[in-house]
Amino acid sequence: MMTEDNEFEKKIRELVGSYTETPDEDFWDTIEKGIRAKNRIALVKKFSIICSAAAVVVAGLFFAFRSVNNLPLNQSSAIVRLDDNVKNGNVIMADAVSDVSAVNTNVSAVTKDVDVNDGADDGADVGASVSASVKTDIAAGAGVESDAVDSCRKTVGQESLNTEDVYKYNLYMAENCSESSSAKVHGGGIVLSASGNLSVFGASAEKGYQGSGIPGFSYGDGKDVSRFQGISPVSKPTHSIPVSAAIEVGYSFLDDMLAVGTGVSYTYMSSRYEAVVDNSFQADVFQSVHYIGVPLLFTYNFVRTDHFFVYATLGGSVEKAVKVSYSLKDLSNSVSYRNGNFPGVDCSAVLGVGFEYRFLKYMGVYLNPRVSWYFIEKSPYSAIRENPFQVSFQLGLRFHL
Amino acid sequence: GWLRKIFVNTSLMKIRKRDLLKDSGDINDYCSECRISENALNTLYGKDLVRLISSMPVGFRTIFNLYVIEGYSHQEIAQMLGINEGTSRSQLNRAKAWLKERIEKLNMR
Repeated sequence: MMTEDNEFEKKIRELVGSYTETPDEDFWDTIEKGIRAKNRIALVKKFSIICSAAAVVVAGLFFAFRSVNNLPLNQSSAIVRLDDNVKNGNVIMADAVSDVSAVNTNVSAVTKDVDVNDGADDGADVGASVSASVKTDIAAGAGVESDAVDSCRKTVGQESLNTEDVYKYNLYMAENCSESSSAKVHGGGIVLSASGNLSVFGASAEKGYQGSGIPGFSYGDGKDVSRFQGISPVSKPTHSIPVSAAIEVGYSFLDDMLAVGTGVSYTYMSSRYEAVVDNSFQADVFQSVHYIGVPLLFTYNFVRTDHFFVYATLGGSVEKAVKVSYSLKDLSNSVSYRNGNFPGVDCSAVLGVGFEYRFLKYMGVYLNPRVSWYFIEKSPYSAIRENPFQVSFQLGLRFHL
Repeated sequence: GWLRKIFVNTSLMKIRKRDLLKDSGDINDYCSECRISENALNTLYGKDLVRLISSMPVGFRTIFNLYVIEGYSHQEIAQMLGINEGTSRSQLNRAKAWLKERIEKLNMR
């Protein structure tokens, strides 16, 4: 029985051992595609985490800024608007002001009508209280509108104490200041934004490849950039998609039409390739490059509604590779690490279109598809070096102070 | 060699995670009456055999592959899969019985 079993096993082993099957032509492609898809998902997760972290940081800065300046969110602006009641002889007294943002001209808190045809004594009393009330509210309304309102107040003067003066004061405010104030709701302001940036071109790894072997191999533009740290690529690299996060501060002017912004950006790029190290051994290389950049961007806002904005962006950025890390795995699977700093900086030009949806009065989410061209001089071999023209999508949160 | 090893280990890890070998029956010479004709084995093609092995229940197949094809001992299999040796032996016997039965059926057609 045992012998029979052994014979059976032996026969099976022989049959299986002699059997060969040629895999489909696209077998490895399918596997690689699967791996790439998984990597992409991991990258998107990483990207989301970076975006969230940046958003949290900016939100923290935003609320810290507000608390330092003592600006309650629901009283961020003060607008006094006098309606037709003023013309009809009724003076509107604004007791409280709220719910006005940089884009929203809604005004509430009209609470009390005062008949200006009352007696002179009463009128004087009322006039005094109305003036005081208006001034108080204006004073409370720190922020972008205060300049306009201040100038109105200066023009009118603060000595109005009788009913007629009160009427004139409010009429003047209604005709001149309220309009300018509401216009200034769109006026200049400081904008804080946090964003993540995902480039479309990542794993091209084809352009300029000249796998001519060792020595004399050459990549990309043929410059010997890859020999940094004694590492010379000898295979087609696979570049991952560049991911970046940025925190920016902007200032808008000309009635929010134009804005200029700057900030700090961080970009991460990684690549895999085989290389000869120190002309002595071959290794699988995982290269990661960390960039810190400073962008300067000009924005032209050409569509503005209460909640939705469309704008064009033009600008540039200066970036420096602050850290380049290499993980080298040789043929015996032992791993060593090398780090370095690349000298010099790289510049890029940026052109884009942005869409912002302001879901809160002081907060909006924006998507900014854009194209960049990198003028690369000293950068390590990477996706942007291989493909200086990059299309990317920037997604972020914007806080309007 | 290394690629094969990776495949084997990855598959084993997956099997262990999914607890597909939970069946820990006694050592039972399940196939004591099981016979296979010489003719059936001689007329069997490698392709058919691989197909049959592929269609085995996963618990049988794992032990069968490791023991018969890869050449591991029951002790090694038990260690690798976190089961006892008895389970490995009984699963192998069942696998062989299952396979013999299918080969005979194939031969009869």
